[in-house]
Amino acid sequence: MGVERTNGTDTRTETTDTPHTQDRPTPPPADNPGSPRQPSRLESLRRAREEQHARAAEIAAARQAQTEQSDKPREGADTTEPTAEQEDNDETREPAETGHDSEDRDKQAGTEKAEQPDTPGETQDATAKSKDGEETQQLDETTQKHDTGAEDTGRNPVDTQAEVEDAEQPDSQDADRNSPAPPDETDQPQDGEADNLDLQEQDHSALSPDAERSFNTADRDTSPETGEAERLNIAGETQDTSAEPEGADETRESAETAPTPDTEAVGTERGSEDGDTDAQAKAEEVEQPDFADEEPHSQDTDQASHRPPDEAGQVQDGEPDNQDQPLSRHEEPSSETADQGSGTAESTTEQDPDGPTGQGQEVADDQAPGPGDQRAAEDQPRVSEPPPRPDAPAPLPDWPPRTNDGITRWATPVYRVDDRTPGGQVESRDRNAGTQPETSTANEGNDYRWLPDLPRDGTPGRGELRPPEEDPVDREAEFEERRRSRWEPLDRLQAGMDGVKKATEGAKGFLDKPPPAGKAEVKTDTGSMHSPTTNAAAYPTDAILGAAIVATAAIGAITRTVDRIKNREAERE
Amino acid sequence: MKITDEHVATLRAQLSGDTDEYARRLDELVSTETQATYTTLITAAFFEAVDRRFVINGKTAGDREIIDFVATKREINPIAAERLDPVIAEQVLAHALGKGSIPGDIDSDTLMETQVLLLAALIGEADLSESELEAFLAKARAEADEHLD
Repeated sequence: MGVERTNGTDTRTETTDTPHTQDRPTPPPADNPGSPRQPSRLESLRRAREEQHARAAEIAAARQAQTEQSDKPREGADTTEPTAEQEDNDETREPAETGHDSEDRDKQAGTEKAEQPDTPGETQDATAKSKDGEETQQLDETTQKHDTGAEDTGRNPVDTQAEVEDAEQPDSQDADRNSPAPPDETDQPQDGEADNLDLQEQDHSALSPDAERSFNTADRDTSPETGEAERLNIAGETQDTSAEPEGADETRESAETAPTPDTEAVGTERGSEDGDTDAQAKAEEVEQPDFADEEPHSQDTDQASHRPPDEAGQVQDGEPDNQDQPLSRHEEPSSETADQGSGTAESTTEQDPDGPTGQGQEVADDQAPGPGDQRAAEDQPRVSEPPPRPDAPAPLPDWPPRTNDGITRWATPVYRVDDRTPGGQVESRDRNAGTQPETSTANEGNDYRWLPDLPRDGTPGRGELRPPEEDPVDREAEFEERRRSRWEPLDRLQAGMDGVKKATEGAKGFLDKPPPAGKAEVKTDTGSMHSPTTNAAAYPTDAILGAAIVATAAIGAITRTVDRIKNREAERE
Repeated sequence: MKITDEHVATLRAQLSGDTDEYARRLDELVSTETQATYTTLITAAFFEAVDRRFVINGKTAGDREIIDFVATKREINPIAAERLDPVIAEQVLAHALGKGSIPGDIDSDTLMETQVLLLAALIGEADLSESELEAFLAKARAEADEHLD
């Protein structure tokens, strides 16, 4: 059952995992029986982280308000508690386990009991001890956180528990030795005030910005997946979760623990740790379904909104005076919450030797922003949301805005092209168009399209046809003059009578008409093919044949008649 | 002396291809004056035939047409080809059209023989009817009469 307690230490990320507890009222063996890492887990981790951040901011604000109220009574305790925190930090740093570890283990054990009712003994104890509904709420939260912490690690709580068990058993023993303080909230049947103190302190640690830082860091640490890193992360987560019930769950626990502190305030701070733890365990079992009802994002708001009223309600219920005391205690050990968480884990390991105390210490180291812890120091700057200081009253804004999907969506910038922007204007294609002055359309035709008239007038003879009547040249005179001139050699011609006689033979050849070559025959269509007359004319043989046929027929008929006549005459004779 | 009907009948007989009549009538022209008048009538008929063939709408044909005409006639009539000098024929045609002059070294017989051959070719190409031929002779006679005074 120490395994469960280790998961209890994992409750450090409870706040983050609370949304997933809904999905998985029962531990998720079905989800990842053999494979500790699944993408669905990662998504759940995202959601849980986001929610955790938001919740942490809200809680911080509420805590501040409370701390301001309880600053006065706490002052004395503050002086003492920082040493405890340092001690816790030292313890968590050191592999050696401390009583805080044991306390953490106790818490884890309690939460794990709540988570896994399979463990009969624990559940019985829890049922038997659950008294206050508020406490049960605490327990529920813690259990949910434990569950989520297990989910964050991406492993089955059982697996992680098993791993942690192996590693933490010796630590748990050490924690038993060292842990002077009683076990934590959930499992503290043994210790009385110490448990209450632890719880309160853890709550304060969660409230304290350091604790929130540890949350953030733990959340970031959950991502690593390999060997020890995983374990460390798991432990850190567990511590975170343990711190959450302490600090992150803050108001609830404060309100829830109020009854226990009530007893403390009355004088018995220890109140019955056993009773508290048992009651818490029982309440865990009872309230788990309540968390299951909660949704990832709405839960945060609900919790944030409801928790302060719960506190107020608790104050109203019982002892408002006592509320302040546990708050004061919470504030002081707020820085120590991680340490106490580790202590609780160790205490749980005491109870359950299986509990992963060693890892719990390591995780506590992670959570506690100790000076020597590099991881925490490194992780802090990573955290998008700076841990809310008590000075900072307002909660951190949601940026990037959260979505129910658990996926942070970054809005893409929208670029609008303004027509007046220098680059968005449409430039004229013609480069010179801008420089050239605009010309009116009316002038364009005249300037560029008007062709000058050709000087055709006064240039006769260029393409113009003139009738012969208008021709200024007297061609008749030329012709007459030419005709007269050609008669000049008449004398020479008149003496050439011999030449006339010589040309007679040659002239005869030009004057003789050529012999008739004959005309081409032109075939004329006499008629259409359908006309019988024309056909008969065109084909006379057909008519002859017809006539012959008719003649033969007639001759045959005649001969027959003659033969008949002869036959008759012969018969008469 | 003027052109007489004898002269016109002689020419008509020649242009109509009645070689026998033309030979008989030609033999009748014995006197030099009758021969000169008849040669004048042949020259007038030649000019008239040239004008009808190479002058169209008052425009005189070019040398190309003259050359082609001479070549063609010499081609179709081998006897004429022997007797007809193309250069003299082209020059006589050109002179008839008013484009040049007849060189002086050409004797009267050669000149008159060329005109008679070209006249027979032109009339033979025109293929005139008798009426047309009579009109042609009348105009030639008139033309000749103008220069016979």
